[in-house]
Amino acid sequence: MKLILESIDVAQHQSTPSIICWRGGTYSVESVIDVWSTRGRWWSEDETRNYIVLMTSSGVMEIYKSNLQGWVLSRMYD
Amino acid sequence: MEYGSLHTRSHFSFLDGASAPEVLAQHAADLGHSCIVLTDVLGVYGAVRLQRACSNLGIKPIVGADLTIHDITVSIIAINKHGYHQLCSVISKIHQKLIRVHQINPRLLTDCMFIVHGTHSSAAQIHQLYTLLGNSNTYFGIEHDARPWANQRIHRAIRIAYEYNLPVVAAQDVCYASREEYATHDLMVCIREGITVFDPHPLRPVHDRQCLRSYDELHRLIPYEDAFHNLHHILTQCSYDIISDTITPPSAQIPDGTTSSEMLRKLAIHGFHNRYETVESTIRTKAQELLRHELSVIDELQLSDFFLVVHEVVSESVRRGIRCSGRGSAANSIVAYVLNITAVCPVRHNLLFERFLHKGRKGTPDIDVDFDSERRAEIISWMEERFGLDQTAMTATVILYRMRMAIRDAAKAIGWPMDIVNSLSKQVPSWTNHDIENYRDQLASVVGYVPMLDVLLRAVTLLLGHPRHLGQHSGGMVLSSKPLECMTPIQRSANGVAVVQFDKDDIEAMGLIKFDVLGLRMLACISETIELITMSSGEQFDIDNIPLDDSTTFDMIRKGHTLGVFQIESQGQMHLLAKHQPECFDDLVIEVALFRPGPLQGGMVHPYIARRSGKEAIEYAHPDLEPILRDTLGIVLFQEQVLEIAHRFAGMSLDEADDFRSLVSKNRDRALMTAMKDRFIQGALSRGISKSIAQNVYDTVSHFVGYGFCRSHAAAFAMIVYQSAWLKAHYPAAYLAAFMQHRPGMYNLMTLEEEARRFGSAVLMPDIHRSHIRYTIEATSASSWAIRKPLTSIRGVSDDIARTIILERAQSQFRNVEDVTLRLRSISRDVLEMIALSGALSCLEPDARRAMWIIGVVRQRMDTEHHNSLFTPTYIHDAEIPSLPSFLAQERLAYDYITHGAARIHPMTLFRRMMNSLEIRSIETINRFSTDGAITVCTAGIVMLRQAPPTAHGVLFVTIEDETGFLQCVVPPRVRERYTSELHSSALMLKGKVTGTGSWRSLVVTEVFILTNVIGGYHGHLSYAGGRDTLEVGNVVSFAQ
Repeated sequence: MKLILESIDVAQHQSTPSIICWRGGTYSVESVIDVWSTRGRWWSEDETRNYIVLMTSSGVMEIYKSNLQGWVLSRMYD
Repeated sequence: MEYGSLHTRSHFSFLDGASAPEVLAQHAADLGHSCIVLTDVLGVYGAVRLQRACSNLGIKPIVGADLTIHDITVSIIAINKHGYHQLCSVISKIHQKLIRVHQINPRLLTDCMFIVHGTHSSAAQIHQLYTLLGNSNTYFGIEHDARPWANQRIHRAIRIAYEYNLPVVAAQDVCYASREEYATHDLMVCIREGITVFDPHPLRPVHDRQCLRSYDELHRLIPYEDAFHNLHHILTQCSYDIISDTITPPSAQIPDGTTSSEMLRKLAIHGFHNRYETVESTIRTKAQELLRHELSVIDELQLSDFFLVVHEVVSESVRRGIRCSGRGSAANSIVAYVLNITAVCPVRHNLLFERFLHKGRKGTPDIDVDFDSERRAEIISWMEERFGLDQTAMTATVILYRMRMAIRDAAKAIGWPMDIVNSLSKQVPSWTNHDIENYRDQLASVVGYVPMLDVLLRAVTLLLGHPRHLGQHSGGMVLSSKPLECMTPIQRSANGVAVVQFDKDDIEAMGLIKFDVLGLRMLACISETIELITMSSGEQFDIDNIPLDDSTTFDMIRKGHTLGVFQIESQGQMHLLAKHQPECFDDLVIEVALFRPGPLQGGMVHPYIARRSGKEAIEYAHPDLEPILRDTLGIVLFQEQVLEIAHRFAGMSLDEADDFRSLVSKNRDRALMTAMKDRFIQGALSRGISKSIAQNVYDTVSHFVGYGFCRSHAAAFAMIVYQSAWLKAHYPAAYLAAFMQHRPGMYNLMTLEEEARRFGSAVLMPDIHRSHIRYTIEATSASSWAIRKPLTSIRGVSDDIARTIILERAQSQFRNVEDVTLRLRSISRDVLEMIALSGALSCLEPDARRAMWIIGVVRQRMDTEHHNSLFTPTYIHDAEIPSLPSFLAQERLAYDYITHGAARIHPMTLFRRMMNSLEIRSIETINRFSTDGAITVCTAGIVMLRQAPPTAHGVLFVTIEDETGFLQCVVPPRVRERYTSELHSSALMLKGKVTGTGSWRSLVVTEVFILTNVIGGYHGHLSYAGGRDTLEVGNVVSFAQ
């Protein structure tokens, strides 16, 4: 498992990621493995993230969409 | 296919859910749910509200409750009516600690379903639970918790479920309706767990997904058809309507072969003869017609049993000599009158039965009965015995977050220290529920304009209106013919009282009967006054049959000498009495009703007074209004008048008119008010009334906002006003002694003692030989009586200690202070010294300081010397007692305050000579000044009251007292602002102009001085209500020394 934390582009189909573009590569999403969310402090503008773990053509990727940063590749799983 | 949330906690889980049942129902309907299952923690508190909301939205409500068994949350859901009864019974047993949660017997819950929320649980825990519950009607609830690796946990849970042969069901954990309420939920969890919002805690939510979800959304998260198929199955199976169309009254005692309605008729006719035998025939005829009509309405509404039960309770109370009096809208009923439940004749006082009951009335009526507060518990015990412990319980009240409580809890959750929390909460009035933003500056005065202030304001807004905990209604007792556990879980309050899980509105919706058994200290005061009179002079009279036109009583009332009289003792009431000048009982009814927020805010007081004094013409907007408003001179004063205008003038049905009255009084729902306004005006138009007149009448009626009395309630209270005034006018010593005993009013003890002196009754100090455990009266001459303060008035003397003293002196009188010290060896030295300091030993030793010295020495020697004499040993000889200085007058008064709460003479007496030289006038002198406001005078006194009612727009009313009387001083906002610090002082010198009406005088203040700065004076006296005029003992002692 590698921590990446880099911005990515995500194409969606029916609100679900279908293609991920990262460092010039394009990866198609085969299935959604898991989803979860985190909320920042409700009294400040802290970050809220919606995580999605995906099975892609390049293996398992954990991405999230943040209200502050947009789409981010969080980790890659071996 | 049925779909809905199976595991939903509302804010009735008390800090474990953030949405009202109504909000949950609305959101569920918006998401297309067909059902919603409410599963609050160990309760069904929100069931009635949910049912009501769902029936309007067309979705099915299902009731259950959450229990935590072996650390796993289990929802128990009622399949049907029987299941609901079983659920209530089990919850009751758990609340009452008759069983523990893990001891519940599934065989007692045959008509319930169990949903085990085991997604996070270990196999061992599931096994333990499975052993307890088995797999009949048990489902394994699957949830997607939106935390990392939720899907893996779901897979694991499904494996465990199949292992135990438990069907799985989609059961998301829902704590709020929509994601926006996440913050409220998080804040509530922090408050519940006693942590700050900065502290991590495993129970705090990490996301905002514990909300209701649509079928599609949940299906994406839990893609298992079985889970939704089983959900459909459960939702289809469960159905129970908690709101009842029928009433479940308590069982009255009825002879065999007689119906309750026949029995009621028989008793009513008997009571009618007693009440109306000697009454003039016109009233009797009207009363007869009214009785016939009421009995038919009561019969039709199936309320005969209820009336019989209330009659039975009141009869038992009378049999036991416990004074009671019906109040509220029930006093509109002649049946209640002839059954002796109420004391005011509805015919003579023009009361409207329809305000209480009418055909088509929804729900059960309220009958409120006040009982002697000291003996109310006896009646409640009797009721529990008579109706059965399992058929009686108190109504609950849901304690909602109001501003002050919300500020406290939110500030603690933000992490401010307690002294700041206390200061913050004091910045807002206790009653307010307005926008917190209005108080930003006040709150900033404590913590500054810091960023966390914004967080506080937001947190308070989140909390306002949500329930914080369940309380107990002050007197609402639910009585039923069936065990209450079948209909509601029963909890025990902190003091062991059985309480249902519903408030009065829910109780009414469920068809249960609530009977308000209220405690009224004034009734205890009246009872004790009569007992004191009878015991001391042997005189006997029936207070319920005294003439209602006694001139001495009305003279006293008109002069405003009403301190201590029920309902009319406040300074505002005294001022109003001076203007109103009541002459008869009906005037008292109006007096009581005038001084309420409704008429005061609606601007009805001044027109009424002006019309009564002939300064303004009596006019009616329409001839139809004259019969309704004639006796209130064209002014809308009573709730019944609003109802009658809506009924007769606007042509509404009685039901509609009653709704209109309720809406106008509460003035809460603007949309409904607009609809009602249209209905009112259209109704009037259809009766041929012009639009302008209809609009004009509507405007007048709609001013009747805020709390106003119904005429029946005012009349019932006016009776107690009159009785208490009559007793004070004719038997001031007995009345004020009883008043000091029960303290039903707003004034401190010193003021009450001064009032007794003004009424010619001396107040005698506590005395070891003469004082009893309660206030008594003693004859001082053939015609005058004095009040003797009891032993219990001495600080530190409890009822137990007083009993010890009384029993000891019953053996033989105490010979001297040494004898007291020796014989009362069970009483501590501190208390004995307090008794000596109070002057209670002056019959044995006139000098209190010497008495204290003897007690100290004897107690010391008792501890060190052991006498084996057959006779009482002597520990001290006169020759040993040194010469001690006697108390100065100022010291004596100070120690009076410290030891028994009031001085033997008013402290201002000591300074009168000096004040005369300074041209500081006594209050009696002020009362002789003209009221044209031309003269500026100076007066001084000890502060009795400080009041700044919200209706006064910043004016502060300070009432001061000296040895000659009391005076209300009006401090305008600008003067108040200038002298803020001085006005906190307990003794003031005030300069201003005298104004007033009739015998009433007040001072419009222009300058304020602290009295001690002027005369080196006095530090104030104990305030009964507390507050800033409370005596600082340290100050008094230093002053005294």
